[in-house]
Amino acid sequence: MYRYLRLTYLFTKKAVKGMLTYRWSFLINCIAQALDYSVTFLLMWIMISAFENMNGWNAYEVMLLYAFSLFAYGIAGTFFFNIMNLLPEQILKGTFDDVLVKPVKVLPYLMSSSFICNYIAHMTLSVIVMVVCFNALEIQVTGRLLWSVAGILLSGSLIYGGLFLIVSASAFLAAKIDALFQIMYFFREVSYYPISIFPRMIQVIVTTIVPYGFVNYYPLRELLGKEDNAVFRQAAVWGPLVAVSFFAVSCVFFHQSAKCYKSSGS
Amino acid sequence: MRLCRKILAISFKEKSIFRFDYIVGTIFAFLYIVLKVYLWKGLYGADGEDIGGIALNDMIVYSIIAGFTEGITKTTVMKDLNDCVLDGSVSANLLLPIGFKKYMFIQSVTRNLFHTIYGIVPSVAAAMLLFSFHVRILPVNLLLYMCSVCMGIIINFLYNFLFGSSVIWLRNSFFLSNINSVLLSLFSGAFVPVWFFPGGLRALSKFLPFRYIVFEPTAIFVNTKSFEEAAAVLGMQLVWIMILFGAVTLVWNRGRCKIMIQGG
Repeated sequence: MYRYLRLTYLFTKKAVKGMLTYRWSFLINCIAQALDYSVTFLLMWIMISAFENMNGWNAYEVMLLYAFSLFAYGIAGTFFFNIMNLLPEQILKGTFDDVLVKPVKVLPYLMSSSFICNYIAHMTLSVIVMVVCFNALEIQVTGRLLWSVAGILLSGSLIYGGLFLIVSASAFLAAKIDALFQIMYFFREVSYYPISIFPRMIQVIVTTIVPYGFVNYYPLRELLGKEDNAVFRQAAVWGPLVAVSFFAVSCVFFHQSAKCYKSSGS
Repeated sequence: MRLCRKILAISFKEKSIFRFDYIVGTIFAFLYIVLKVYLWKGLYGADGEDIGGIALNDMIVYSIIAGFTEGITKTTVMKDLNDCVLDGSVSANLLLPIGFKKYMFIQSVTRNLFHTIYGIVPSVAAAMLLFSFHVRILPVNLLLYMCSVCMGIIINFLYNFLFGSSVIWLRNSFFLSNINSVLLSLFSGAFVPVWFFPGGLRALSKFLPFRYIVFEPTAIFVNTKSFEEAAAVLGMQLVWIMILFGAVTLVWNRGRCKIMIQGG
């Protein structure tokens, strides 16, 4: 365990140094990303303000949903995005051998070596939006609230991390994983809105198969005390449990799929 | 004409290699339209009364048609220009016995035509079957819509070409192309139509070319405009085409002499 923490520290240091070498390029990248997401926030605000509310959720509450999702995605992306980004090519080319011959366990090594800084933009933007929304909704920021926010974000990032792992592990089993990629990002889009507006089937999918509902919708429904006609009304209690077990299952899935790796030779 | 057909055929072949990608792409294009329609249904709520003079039925038609309009007006010319200037392949294109701008335009349109026929049309058709709505299509409106879409394609191409040319001076058009896509997604009305914009943003959108790419053609189709209003829109599109064409000619004529080609 200590060994991987130390590896994480070293790789993180390397990543930060690498970022600082091209700091302007990095900064412009961040601004571009943040701009992209701010427009989505803006469009969301315009759309819902024109109608006053979306199934009982007002514009700021829906933006809060999005901000929580984005922050959790940011934490998970910092550690897992590079796995998903690089692994498929490593597998196709056979350079995954390099990882296998190292005297480390595969998954802990990948997690500790995949740190990237880019998601700082997502997280900063979502914190700003959260502050704005809490202000507009006149919610008192107390220690209790901060703890529950931290808890929600942590379990959200476990779910995102699990999804990243499942998608990347599929690269061991199939040559092209673009379809899974699409599924992951489509349902992420779904979870930006109160999922009670969608048909029953979609609600079931985002609660069970790709459990995005537990990232933002169910916890915030509880936190903001919303009473809408969702299919699963008591799901919020299960949030942390679902997050931890989903992450555990995806780790096992990754481990099992990695056994199917056949080197393509070099 | 024969040249056009040749380029068309090659572009078609180039794309049909990745069939699986296209099937997946189509399914998800369909799902994104479904997502949008459910969002509007959620916003209108159970009683579904008109908001700002727009009924839910119109909004569903708008979402579906906007999906189609957005697909057909899309262009990747900014990225193409960036790539071919940076890797030097622009030199080969400049030697072609057909104007560079014309070549890029034909390439962009044919690529998109294929994408539209195989990717957008099935998803739009499926969305139409899934949701019940009524639409009254007058032949005049259809004709006006088609004219408007054609001009929308030209506007989007010229605009992207204009700002894509900046790669000649800046050696990288990433940031500009990002700003451009941000502005396009905000003002084009592909997701949220300009009807629902607050006053200030709506006024601003009148001075930008973006609303003439997706929003105005789609609004003509949805039948919310009188004939005079539609004609005024077409007029404005023509004005924008002339402005952008002038700017593109100016910038490209200067840039062509400045292009630096690395490698060979």
